Amino acid sequence: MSKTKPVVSATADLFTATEPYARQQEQSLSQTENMPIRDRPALAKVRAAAKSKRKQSSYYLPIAQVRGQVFLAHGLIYPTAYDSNAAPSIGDVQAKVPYGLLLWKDQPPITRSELLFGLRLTRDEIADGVQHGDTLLVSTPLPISRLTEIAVPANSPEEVTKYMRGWIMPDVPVPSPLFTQAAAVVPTSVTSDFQVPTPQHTPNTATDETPKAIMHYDRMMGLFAFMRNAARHHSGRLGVYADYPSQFFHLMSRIRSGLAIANAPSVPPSPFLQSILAGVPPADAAQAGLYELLCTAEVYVDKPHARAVADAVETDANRDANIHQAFELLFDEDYRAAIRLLQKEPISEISVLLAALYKFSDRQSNDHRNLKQTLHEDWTNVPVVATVLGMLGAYYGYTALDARESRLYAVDRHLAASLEHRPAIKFHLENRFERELIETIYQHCFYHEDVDAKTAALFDSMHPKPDIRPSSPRLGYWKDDSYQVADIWVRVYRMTTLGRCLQRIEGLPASSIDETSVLGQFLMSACFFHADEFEISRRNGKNAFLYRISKQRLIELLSEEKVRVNLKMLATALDEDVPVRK
Amino acid sequence: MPEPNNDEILAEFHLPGVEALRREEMWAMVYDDNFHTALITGCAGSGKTTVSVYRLVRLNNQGEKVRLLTLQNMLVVFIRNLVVNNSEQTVDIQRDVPRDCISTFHDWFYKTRKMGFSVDNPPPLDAIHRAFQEKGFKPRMAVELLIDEGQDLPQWVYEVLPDYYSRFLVGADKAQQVHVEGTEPDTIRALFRNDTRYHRFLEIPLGQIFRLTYETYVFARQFIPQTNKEVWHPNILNGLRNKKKHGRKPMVIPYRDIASRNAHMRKILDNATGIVGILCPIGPARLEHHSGESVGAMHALLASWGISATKYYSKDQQTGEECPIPERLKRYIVTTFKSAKGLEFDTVVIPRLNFFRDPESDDGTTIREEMYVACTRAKTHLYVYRDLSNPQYDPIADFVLETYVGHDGASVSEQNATSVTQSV
Repeated sequence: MSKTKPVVSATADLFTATEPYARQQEQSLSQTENMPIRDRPALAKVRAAAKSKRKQSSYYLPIAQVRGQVFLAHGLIYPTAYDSNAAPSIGDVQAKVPYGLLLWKDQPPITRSELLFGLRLTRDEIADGVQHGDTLLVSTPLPISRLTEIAVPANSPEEVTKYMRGWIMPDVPVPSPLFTQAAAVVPTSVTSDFQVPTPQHTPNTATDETPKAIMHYDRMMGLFAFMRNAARHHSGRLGVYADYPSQFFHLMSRIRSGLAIANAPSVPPSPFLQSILAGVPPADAAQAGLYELLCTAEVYVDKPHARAVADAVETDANRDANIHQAFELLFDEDYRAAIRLLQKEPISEISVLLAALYKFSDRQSNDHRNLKQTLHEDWTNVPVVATVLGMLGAYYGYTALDARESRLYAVDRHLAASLEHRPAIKFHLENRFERELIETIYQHCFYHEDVDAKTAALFDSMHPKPDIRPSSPRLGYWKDDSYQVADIWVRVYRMTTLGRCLQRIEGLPASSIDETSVLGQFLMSACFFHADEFEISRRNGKNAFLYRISKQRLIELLSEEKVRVNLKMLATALDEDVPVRK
Repeated sequence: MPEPNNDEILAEFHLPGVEALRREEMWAMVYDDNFHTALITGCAGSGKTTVSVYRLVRLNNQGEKVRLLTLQNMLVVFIRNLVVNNSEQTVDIQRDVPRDCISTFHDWFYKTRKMGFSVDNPPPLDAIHRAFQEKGFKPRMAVELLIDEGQDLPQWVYEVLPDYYSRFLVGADKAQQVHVEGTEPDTIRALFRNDTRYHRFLEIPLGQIFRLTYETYVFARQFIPQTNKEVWHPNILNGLRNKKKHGRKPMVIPYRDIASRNAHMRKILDNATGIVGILCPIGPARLEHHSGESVGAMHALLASWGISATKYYSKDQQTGEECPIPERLKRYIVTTFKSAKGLEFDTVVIPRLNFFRDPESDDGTTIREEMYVACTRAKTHLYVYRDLSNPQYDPIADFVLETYVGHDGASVSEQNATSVTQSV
């Protein structure tokens, strides 16, 4: 799709000139705050005019309530012609312009079944649109990053809240700070009688690239959204927690130049995920096969097709016995055994991805939710999990995902209090970073371009002050490795060696430790006289040291440093008794 | 800290999203408050309960007084679990639906009217009027009452109760009526439409199956005689096909010895995700003649494998045994075909299909209907175990082979006659 370059027009000049002018006006007005009260109405008029000029790039989109929710679920605002589920009965004004979005410069009155999306447009988009009185007709979809306001039919702020509380669909993110009261609510839609501007844009359906771009956008949004919580699910099991896997930022930097990711630990993004971003099948036969499965329109990946890709993977892997056995298990309905085998080093990324896709490929099921339930049990490598979730997010598409996690599984109890129980999957427009990510994906999918400075400047007024709040919770045995990327603070916690040992001691099957275990022997000298029971006797002419200490007592002694031991040796002793499951 | 145990994960319930609701034309019904009486009709799995649950969650979240009543104990537990922590809203915005807002009609009636209620022998209309007046009930005292499975409630429910609520919404399906004292949807419609006291009556016909896949339905309907025009109506399959509601074919696993069946079933259960229903024809273990027939024995078998499951069956007529109604549901649920009515599972496992009741009291029709109910609980995966060693009565002997796959996932029709009966 080609983006028309901006035409030098009165609108564009006005846009350029308006912002500094408006600021100057406001500055001068602020200096006259002490003027007599009788002059205040005039002052207010001037202020309103200045504000109005500053908001030249702001428009309002009147739509039926259902479509408002649908746009949030998709993360994209798009013309009716591209909405395969739009019921003819909806009948909002947008249905009259199937290949366009009809925007108003000021808020038009709406009915109880409508709402208004406040949107920011770039100069190019305004210049490319068809101006008609107070309206602007644009012909391309717009990303949800442009959303500045959701004006709803309500008579009071309390009604706005009540209205917002009615938005309960699990796949619709609700950006609650954006909800406002619409300027006017009328019984009959005024926009429904509106004479739409001509000429309308009607693309040649055979050559129209927009449906492809919409699909690619949905995949990429899904990839990033589903991947971002990958490192939140394992803290109780692997001793690592992160708001975002660092791979997320490194992957994003491939399509967003200038993204400052120096703080993010370096993890090279998966080549397969990069192929998805590019929207181009990989050259390798096995990867190309997997890519084809990913892009299929089928409802699920069936066994014959998955087997064909598995054969290609096995050929690439020189008929590796491990991979062969894993695939046999996978196609015999034993995914979990297959995954255990496939995670043995060296991990074949393509094999792991194929297994996960085959198991969780049913688009119309709860697969996208259910896979999270066993994530912490089945997977031991967080970067691999991030890649798996990224791929599956692209497969399901952003639209199909939930707005929030159902819950986090296997959260460490020391961290639980400081973590959200249901973190967002979809983007709730809470910070500038999210908006720029969405914009980046949009520009990449629809125009094959990076976000330019002028487009990025649209977000200046939406998030004027970066909301960076370094956290400092009481972490117990967790080390804080958090870092900042753009305007978000990425919490990263790693369990200390002592914490891991205590966790493993607590998980031992026996309630106490004694001299019969390797751990008991290792701790004997340090813990003998702290033990719940101990005995020194002579047996067969030798001194016999017998003791028993409860797990809880041992944990207290170690955590309060009343007993100090070499932690590496402690971990080794634990390994001897209960090997860590890989 | 103990190793996280997947088997202890509680069942998680999810409502369908905006696109699914919009596709099925249910979305408007979730948000339309401009009615006094409303009737939602549609076949099993068409989404009647979904609409009611959505309204319950929305209205409660908006601070309105709303109540949902149904007939099945397990369905009450399912819905109570479904509405906990189950909307997009964050904790600060969301209001959990109070537990008491969802109950069986029997419980609600007894608690509020201090009168017993039986669907088979309901109290007469004048007794109801008296009871309401004596208890001081006032018209429009609550915002909305939602009734699920309304076809099984007596007619006075629709003559009396709408007066006491600002809105009154009923979901009903004639084909699912099991109580003779129930009320057909046609009668409910006539009552609502003709009553001039009610300023607006709304009818919402949900014509299509919402829950099942095409493949599961094609398999399951074979339990029902083709003379049943509602189950065999071509529009049902057309609807599923048009909406691309496709999925994997049901898997029928033949076996000759219990050990091999159990080994296969254990693997399936270990790999099953989401909510897993293990469905049996009878409840108490002591009534079981063959392994896999009873809830009690299957629950014990799962426990021996380290799988923690919820067990439920209603009071058995023969033994008087019953299970207490569970509060929270684990993700593995062992229950009877009958108690599973109205529920849905990501995966359904039927450990032994070849069950036959006393031929003198049952010609097989009832159990076939129950098997239909059991199979249609499966949202995504259906596994059916078929005993070849002691078939007694093989309800799927005459099923079309293309409608299911064998234990190796291959289409049975593609195999030769020997492998058709090849067991695990």
